[in-house]
Amino acid sequence: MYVVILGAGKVGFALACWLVASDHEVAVIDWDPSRCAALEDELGGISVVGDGTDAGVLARAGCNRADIFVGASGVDEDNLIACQLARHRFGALKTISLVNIPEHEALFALLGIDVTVNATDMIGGRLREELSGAAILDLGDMR
Amino acid sequence: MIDLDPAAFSLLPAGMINDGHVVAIVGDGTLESDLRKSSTQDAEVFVAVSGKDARNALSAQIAKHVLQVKTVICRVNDPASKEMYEQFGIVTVSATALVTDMILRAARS
Repeated sequence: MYVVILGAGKVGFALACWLVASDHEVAVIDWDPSRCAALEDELGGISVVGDGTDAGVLARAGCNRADIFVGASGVDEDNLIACQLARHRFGALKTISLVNIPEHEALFALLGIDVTVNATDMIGGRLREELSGAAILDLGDMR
Repeated sequence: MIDLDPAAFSLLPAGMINDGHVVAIVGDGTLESDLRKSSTQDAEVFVAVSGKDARNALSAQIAKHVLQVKTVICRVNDPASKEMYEQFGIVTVSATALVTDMILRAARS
């Protein structure tokens, strides 16, 4: 499987490592050369420095033969536009996008993104679960 | 008129806001909630002309496909993306394409 990822931040980096370890082919796009260099130290020449909302940059990353495109940057509009270009201009079979602002989740689904991952709500939900499960100390008792 | 930066409105000609010609709303145009605060859902035309293509494209798609604004115009600098947005029912304006076109026409004449 060939997967193109937008964003070499924490999520993109970890995902690329996992995919390579699972014998998939990966390209990662990030505008920040230092993040791409860090990725190359770990995985070799799989990164493309540039703006992932630019069709020329997506072409350089080989989007025309991508099975899956993943928008994993911290900027929702970049994830959306890159996913839409990957699908409509390059024919990616499946698009997955990280959603940083919860309000964008339903919107991204409406606009044709196949899978949305709402990081903010997932982390918030997990924290709430932990907090409600634990006996919360009454601050008054600490005096 | 919606902008993230309150200072941006000071660039408007004097009196535009005070005389009621422009309603200034400080907000994020890529959020449906902020666009609704600006009554975008009642607009006949929505124009996205911020400096960032991706933000314009997201705003324009909310206006067109969620808020059902009839005419949506979006500034796009990357000419390669124009075709896709037009397929989505959005009118695009590209400064790059306009300038190139003008130069070519001048060169031919």
